[in-house]
Amino acid sequence: MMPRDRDPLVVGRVIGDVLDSFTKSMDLTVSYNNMEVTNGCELKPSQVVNKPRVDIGGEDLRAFHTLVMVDPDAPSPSDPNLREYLHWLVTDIPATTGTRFGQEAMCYESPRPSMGIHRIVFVLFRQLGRQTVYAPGWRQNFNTKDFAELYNLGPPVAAVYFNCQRESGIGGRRR
Amino acid sequence: MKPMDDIWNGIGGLSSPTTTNFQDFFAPATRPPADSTALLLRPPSTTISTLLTNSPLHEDDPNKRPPPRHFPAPDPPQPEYTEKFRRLMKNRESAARSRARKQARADELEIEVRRLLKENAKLKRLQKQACVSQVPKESKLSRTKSAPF
Repeated sequence: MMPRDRDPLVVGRVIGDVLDSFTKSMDLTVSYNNMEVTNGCELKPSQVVNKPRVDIGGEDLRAFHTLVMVDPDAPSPSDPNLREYLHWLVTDIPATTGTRFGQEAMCYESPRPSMGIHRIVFVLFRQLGRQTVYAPGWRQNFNTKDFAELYNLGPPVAAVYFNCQRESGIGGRRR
Repeated sequence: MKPMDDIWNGIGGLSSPTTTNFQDFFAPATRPPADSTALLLRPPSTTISTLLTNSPLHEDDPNKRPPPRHFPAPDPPQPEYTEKFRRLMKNRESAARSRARKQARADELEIEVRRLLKENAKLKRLQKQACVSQVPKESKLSRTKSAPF
């Protein structure tokens, strides 16, 4: 394994700030307007104003999954006192399908960062059973790790993230 | 004092990029003696407290000792608490995040490229095989209904 070829989730500190190390075991495809999200790509708020299309892999339609979408850099990466901000929560997604077949436990709120460059992370978990996951009462200060433990979701099965800054942003600089 | 300056400049870890003056690390009220020469010539066992009391050369004579300075408790002169230091650290963190962002994107693209090259090679192989099996059939001549005659 070449030293330069490291997991972008580790290099980008998603593993560290949001998740613990895990092994990817499912396909997860997130697309905004037919553009697939690859780790660390940059998307503007105008491009993510509507919920993305999310397709997941697996084989067994009876296996249910939960998708979490969080911003660990809210309100600003230099002072993320709202880490993590929960943008979207979809549960009971059957394998081989997508979020449109699941239950939207927390509706999609589009990212609109005002300060700095934020990472927006999607995490996929496998549920123990159907209708076993419930949404929190608020979006800020969500903790993905605690949430997974609370509902026995186990380690993540897949994750992907993109970067987002305000529409007229120029690389995280103050005006 | 040139050789001593070189030594100080060689100590990379502590020095701020914005200052080359050792005295700037301390808040104005608690600066060590303005004469940095005296500072540098002090024996190695000098501690921060002796630097601050500004009087080791006159220790033996209580009359000549300058009045002890009063340092307000909430404002210790260590570098960690100055605004400059905090700004410095914030900038370093920001720079580190920027580097991580750049490197993560590069790593992801490398992975994507390798994956696509593999897929491309596989598809070309499959296409070749498909072509090879088709050619004999195409060389057969046959009349079709669309012929003009």
